[in-house]
Amino acid sequence: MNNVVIDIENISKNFGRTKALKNVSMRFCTGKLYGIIGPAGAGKTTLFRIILGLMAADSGKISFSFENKNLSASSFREITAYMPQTQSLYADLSVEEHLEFFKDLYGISPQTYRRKKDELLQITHLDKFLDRPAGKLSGGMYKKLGLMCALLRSPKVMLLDEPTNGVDPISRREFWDMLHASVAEGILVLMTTAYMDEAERCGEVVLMEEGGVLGTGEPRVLLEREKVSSFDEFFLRRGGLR
Amino acid sequence: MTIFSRRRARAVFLKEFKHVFRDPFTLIMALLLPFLIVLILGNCIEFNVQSIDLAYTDHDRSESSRKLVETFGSSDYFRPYMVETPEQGFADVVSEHAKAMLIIPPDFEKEFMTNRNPDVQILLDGADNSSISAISNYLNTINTTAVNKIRDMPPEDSNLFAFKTRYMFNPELNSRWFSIPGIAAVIIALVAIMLTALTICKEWEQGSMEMLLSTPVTSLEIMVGKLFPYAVLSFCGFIIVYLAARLIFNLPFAGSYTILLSATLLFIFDYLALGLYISIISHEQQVAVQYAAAIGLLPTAMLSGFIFPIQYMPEIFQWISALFPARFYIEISRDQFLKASSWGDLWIPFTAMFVQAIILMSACLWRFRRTLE
Repeated sequence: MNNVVIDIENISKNFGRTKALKNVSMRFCTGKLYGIIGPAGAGKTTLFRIILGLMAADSGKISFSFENKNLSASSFREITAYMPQTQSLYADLSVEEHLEFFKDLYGISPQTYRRKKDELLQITHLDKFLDRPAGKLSGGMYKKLGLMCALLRSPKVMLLDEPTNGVDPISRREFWDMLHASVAEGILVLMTTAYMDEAERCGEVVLMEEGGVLGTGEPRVLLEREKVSSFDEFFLRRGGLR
Repeated sequence: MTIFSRRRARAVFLKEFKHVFRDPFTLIMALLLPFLIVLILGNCIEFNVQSIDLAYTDHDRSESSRKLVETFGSSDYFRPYMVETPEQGFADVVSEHAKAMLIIPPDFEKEFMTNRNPDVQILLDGADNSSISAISNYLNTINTTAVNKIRDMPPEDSNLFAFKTRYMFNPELNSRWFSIPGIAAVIIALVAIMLTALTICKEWEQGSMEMLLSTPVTSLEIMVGKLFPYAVLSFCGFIIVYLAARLIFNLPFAGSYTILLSATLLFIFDYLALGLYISIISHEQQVAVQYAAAIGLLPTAMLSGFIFPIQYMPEIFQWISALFPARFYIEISRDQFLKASSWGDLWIPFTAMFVQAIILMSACLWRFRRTLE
């Protein structure tokens, strides 16, 4: 099986005096959809950037393995697709031009590209908008295009930073269907969100606040353990204790 | 993992090319602006001074004084007109109706004929520094000519010998011939530095660099792919300047195209690397524009010999000007248009630009990080 494990041990990261991550440890394995949940400023984006090697941690260690063999950081990046939080597509390039661009960057063969493109267009319903520039897509379509570009390379791991932010409810549901389908195909999916209601759709959640981990586990188990009815309540109660 | 894949570099290049062709601002900046700059600078930068209004009062009113005024008028440089009193002429200079004033004293002819060297006063508008040295030069010539004219002597006999000056390479001392070859440097600097710095900063600002860096594309591929379209645009800018120089301003071209093109390509490379370096250290478009103006455009115009001759600068500025490739490029460009020196004569500027290219590129590779910090 395509079994990828990401092991994070005691990672810390400071930006000047701000402590973005405080001694964080967690472990992710293929087969689940992980949700990293927390309000803005919790350190979610920093965590993703450190996992991808776009930033160096001040202390701590990250190791990757694929089918029980150790992976170097650059080999890990080869099998990983990333969708940043900020609008990172090119406003003047059309949907098709984006796909062509990433096809070349990922070195995908023409046959694989054709098959993958048709498949993805069908799921995302973007086939009618192939010629439309990314800048003229709606929020939901824009995010779906970002996801398409990420999925194009058939990754083993996907890191999605607030993918549903600013997306209408219907598109959000479609988006979640796509994520669950990816997990079923054996992709390790990590996503961040600030929407507490989305936490319950994840296979496992990591609750973060101010650079620290408040709790991890399956959503329902976690809620029962903390004796709260929702993640909103969880964060409110935690905030009150401080 | 391969360091350089042609396919990935080509993908970045094609993407960048689409950006350029869909953005009217970039195209205007790259193609229309050079044309306008050549037209404007070519027509405005004029070191030759002509048709200077000269007020004069003639207190002698003799045949000699009339001939003196005639000599002024028969050169193209002065347009003499008579005023009644010196005060009136002075008022004209103050109000800038006249640039200069000539006062011929009462006994001019008498003193002249008895070889007593009469004094003739010239008042010049010293506040207008740009034309003053040209006017003083003309006065010397007019002095000799006027003496001959008043004495009714052919010019050859007046002196024991005469300097017969012939200006090599630019026989009419046309200042445009001198200034236009330098304009190419200014335009390439503008297009290469500004556009490159902006395009890479845009990727950082919009967040697309984060996406790019998470793909297998390497730093070298990003740099090559992104710089290539701007190299092409800069080269188009050069072609526009060259055509305008030849067709509109009728410049001759004495040199070798191989030398000029090699110098141009090397110069473009220098400035693309400089633009790249600016974008690497600034990451923000606004900051990049300021850097580009301060370390790119200003020295290119001011310290390159384009406007102010380098050999008359204080020594420290001569050294500073050697830091910028523009100085060397302008040297080669002027030379190739007018003088046509060989590779052997031009090895110093070529070597200098080459060394600068290596330093700039190394600096870029050293500072470019695949991280977001």
